[in-house]
Amino acid sequence: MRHLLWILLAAVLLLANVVVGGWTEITDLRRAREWRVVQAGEAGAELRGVHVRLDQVWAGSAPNLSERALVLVRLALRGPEAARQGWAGCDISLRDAADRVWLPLISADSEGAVRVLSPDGENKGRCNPISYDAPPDGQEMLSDQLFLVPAELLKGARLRVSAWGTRPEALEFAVTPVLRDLH
Amino acid sequence: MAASAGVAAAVLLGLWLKVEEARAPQDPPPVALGQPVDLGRVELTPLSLALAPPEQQGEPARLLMQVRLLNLTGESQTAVFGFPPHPPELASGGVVWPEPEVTLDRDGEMLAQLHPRLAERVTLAWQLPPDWRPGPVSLTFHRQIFKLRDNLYGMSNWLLFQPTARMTMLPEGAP
Amino acid sequence: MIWLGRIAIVLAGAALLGGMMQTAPDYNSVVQPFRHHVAAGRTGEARSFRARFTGLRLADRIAFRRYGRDLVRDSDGVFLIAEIEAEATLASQRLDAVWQGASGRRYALSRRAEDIPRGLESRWFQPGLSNRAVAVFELPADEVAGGALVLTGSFTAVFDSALHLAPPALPERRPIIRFEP
Repeated sequence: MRHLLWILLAAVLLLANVVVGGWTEITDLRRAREWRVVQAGEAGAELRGVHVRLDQVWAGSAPNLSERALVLVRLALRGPEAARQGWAGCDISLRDAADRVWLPLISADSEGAVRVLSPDGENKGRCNPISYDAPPDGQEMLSDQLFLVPAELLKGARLRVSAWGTRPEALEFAVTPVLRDLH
Repeated sequence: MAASAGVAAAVLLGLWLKVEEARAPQDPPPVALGQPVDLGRVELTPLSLALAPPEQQGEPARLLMQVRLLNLTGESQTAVFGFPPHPPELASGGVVWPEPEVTLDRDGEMLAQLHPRLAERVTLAWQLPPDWRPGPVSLTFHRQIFKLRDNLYGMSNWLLFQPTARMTMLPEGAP
Repeated sequence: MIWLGRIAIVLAGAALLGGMMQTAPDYNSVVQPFRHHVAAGRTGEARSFRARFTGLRLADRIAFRRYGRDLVRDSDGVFLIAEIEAEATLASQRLDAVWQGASGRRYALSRRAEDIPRGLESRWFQPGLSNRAVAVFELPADEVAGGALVLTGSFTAVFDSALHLAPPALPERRPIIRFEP
């Protein structure tokens, strides 16, 4: 009888160990994955108190490299300061029908390419909802992300937007870039 | 009963070993210029130790040690003096100097990496403390212990540092 | 007689445990990437990218421009310049390369050639777009023949694939190779 008690205690402790260890692993995984994707329309959508709208998408292609294209995505985020805190580290990616993922370019050259591609010649910077020069609550803040993709993606792609505080929820937009002649 | 006796014996043995160790403090063996020292990841051979004028006007003068380094492991090393880095420790009159700057003699740039089987000449530069009076300095070399199977996971691991050699000499150019 | 049986059980247990200890693979050999050996000139398929070893050059010195300064690097060994063509298959990613020499030693990308034009460490590979890059290693000359270029999707690639690409025909050693931007 005494043995049985010890065995039961060991089993309970083992189970508690698995639950505690597994819990942290699962929360980490949820913070990294986009499991619940909400489709957003032209007017944008709200997620965790922040309204996200796809402002503009432009694309450009060099004549001698017609199989590849640069896509510039301008996002507009609007929401109160407290909600934007949860949007820190916002992640943006382009996807095709086969679920291949393109991440924004982060090299020094992409800085200049954004200015060339955007019609107003401006670079609004990467998506950072808690930047020091954020506009007052209620106004939209713009950001520019540049992607290098195969030209066939210009026919249609999906844009995923999520952040550390929103995952596993994410927003998805249908993207049809406006092709700009660069010369 | 047997278990508690065993634990008590182990504790006593450990204590006795510590007491023995403290009774006879062991100095690391002395080395001289030209003698190779095994630091774990690399083999270091001190070649010269000399005072040098400052690199730029207004900076303190420097103490330069030229060494030859050879990577003893099977892969390129970025942590040449181990991790956390334990470069040769220079002390004068019991005061330890801040860590030296390590440059590759070949191109004068910071030593970033050491590849296996490619020995390199490297210069370690210390800035002289303003109150330093010329005299003999001592250099202590530390070796990081490598275990092919550590006690936790059975994986290969770099563990503790131990003083492995000491060099005491008067730098060249000292009055 | 009972104690004989007990001793036998203890001995058998000890032998069993000893055998398991001796034959159990250690952590390092268990936690490894999955290797794919690729013949010279062929395209290798990894879990998240595909790559081809397109060219190999050897030089005593390399010259390139960095932050507006002309740099020349020399070596006691030789500079091995591997040219690769690669494409991501799942998501935008970077690649890491190691030269596994003839002796089995592993040579990392030379930091002395950091920021060369088209350098692998600054390259991103996009799905559906093949991209070229160069990887520069510094190693003793006798590690080149019989070695292989190991490409991985990340630094350790544990439980991920590692492509072992056999080099194309060995070229003549050139006194200096200049990298033009």
